[in-house]
Amino acid sequence: MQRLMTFYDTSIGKKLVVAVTGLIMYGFIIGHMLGNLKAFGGATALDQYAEMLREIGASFLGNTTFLWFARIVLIVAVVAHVVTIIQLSRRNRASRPTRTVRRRNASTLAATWMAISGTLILVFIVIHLAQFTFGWIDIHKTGTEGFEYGAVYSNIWGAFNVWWVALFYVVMMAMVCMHVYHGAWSMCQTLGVDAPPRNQMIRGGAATIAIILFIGFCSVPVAMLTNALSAPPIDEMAVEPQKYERSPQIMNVSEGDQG
Amino acid sequence: MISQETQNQPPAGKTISLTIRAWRQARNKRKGHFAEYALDRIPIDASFLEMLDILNETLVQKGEDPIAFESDCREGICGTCGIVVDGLPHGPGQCTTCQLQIRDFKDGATITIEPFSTGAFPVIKDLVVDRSGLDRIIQAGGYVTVHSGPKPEPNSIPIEHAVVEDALDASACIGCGACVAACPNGSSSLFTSAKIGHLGLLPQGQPERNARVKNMVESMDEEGFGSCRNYAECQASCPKGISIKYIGRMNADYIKATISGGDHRGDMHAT
Ligand code: HEM
Ligand code: FES
Repeated sequence: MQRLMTFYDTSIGKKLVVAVTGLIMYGFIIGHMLGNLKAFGGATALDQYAEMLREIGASFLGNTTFLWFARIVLIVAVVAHVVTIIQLSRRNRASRPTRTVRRRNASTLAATWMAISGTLILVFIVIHLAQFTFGWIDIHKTGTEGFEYGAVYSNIWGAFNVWWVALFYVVMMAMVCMHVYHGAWSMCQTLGVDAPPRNQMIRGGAATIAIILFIGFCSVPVAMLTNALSAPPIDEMAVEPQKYERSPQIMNVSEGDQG
Repeated sequence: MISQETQNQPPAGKTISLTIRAWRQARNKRKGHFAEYALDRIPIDASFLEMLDILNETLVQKGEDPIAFESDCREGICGTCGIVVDGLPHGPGQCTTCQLQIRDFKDGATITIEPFSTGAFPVIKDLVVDRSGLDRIIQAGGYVTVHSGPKPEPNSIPIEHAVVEDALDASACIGCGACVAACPNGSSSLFTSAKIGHLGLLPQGQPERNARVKNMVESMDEEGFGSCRNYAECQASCPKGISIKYIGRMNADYIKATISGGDHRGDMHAT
């Protein structure tokens, strides 16, 4: 325990916490991006995918138990990531009270923007959850359905058809991708797995994943705004209530039963 | 005895004029200011520090306080000199301040000179900062134990060539502190990691390996240096071109040392 406390007290120990929690979130956003692509399979595919997430392990844990477990891990990761960064930044400011030295442009824009992109991500997470998880912020194109719990496709379709909502998401995804572009490489350096023979590969991999994430995340809002993805079927709403009844035999509901 | 007049005469050859904007900070004062000095007839083949010597001589002659700065070897091997020149530690190019040459500056240029100051490097006077924090990091673990008896035959411990080269690259660190001055966070990670890498890569450094990395890393934080955010500005400013790969190695070594606990004397395998 003593050893752990000393470890966490050093900047390297703190950086390790930032790296590990960053890795957890990195894994999450990759999964999240892939999940979003279900939207291209149509409203039913996306809604069923969302439903499936709620039901993982439902037979023995009960509905959404697993989802809550994952959520708690993520909440802890975000809090630990941010708290540790605040502690580190405070130390860094103390060790650099005046700064007259210019940069030699060794650092990338992504590196110098870590705190800015990180703070914007934090703001984004709050807005994003308020909008699509809790429905507190309900902005949707006039004439589309408002927020309805579980009607994922319809919810995002209504919102992304407001051009500035779509733009906001695209800009925020640029921030996320910039953050994880530097973050992924930086994490390898923090964990000590980066080394000259691997450096190019790690930097290249970080850039590739960041670009794939950006395209993947932005494809849905852009496709919806441009109507490349069609409006949700009108009867989707009518189907929803049954579908989200928390029946204990939910595992036995096959696709056919829902129609 | 040379008369003052001839002393001030630049040697034959081309000369240039410069304006020096120097940071002046009195001893034990927390605030300083810039002062401008016009210099003409600076010989083109003077070194940067010789130019400062010339400036100081004129200041002394005028009865003013000369600009305090540090230097020793003046050939880029001791790491004593260290001035931020035009916003860059050791100035433009990959060399120490003492290796800067007047011929690399334009006639009529204004050159700003500042100390290497950070939170952990407080200014002592003018361009001189207190870099003893780096010494204390070395004291915390930058050594190997050598017994005082007869020495073994040097080639009796075979070391892989690549490992030797790696250790030698790290050992090129002259401890000038440019990495700290260059780091937006004032971190001494490049310095500390070079020392840890230099000793920890060689078989002779294995006995204290775990204790070394732990003590040096902890000392680095105690001295008030910032944390590494992997900007790599240090690597770009290092006169010896030390790679940030040693920082990665230090991080991994520190994590390993924390997991395995105490030191492993007798563990003679370099990895
Ligand atoms: C999707 C969520 C996020 C992911 C995937 C993520 C990922 C990462 C990763 C992998 C690192 C590199 C760790 C290292 O250098 O060892 C990092 C660093 C950083 N993150 Fe995040 N992060 C996220 C959210 C945030 C948030 C919400 C903030 C808000 C303050 C933030 C601020 C930072 C900062 C300032 C650093 C640099 C820390 C340092 O190197 O000292 N991040 N992040
Ligand atoms: S004076 Fe020795 S390195 Fe510059």
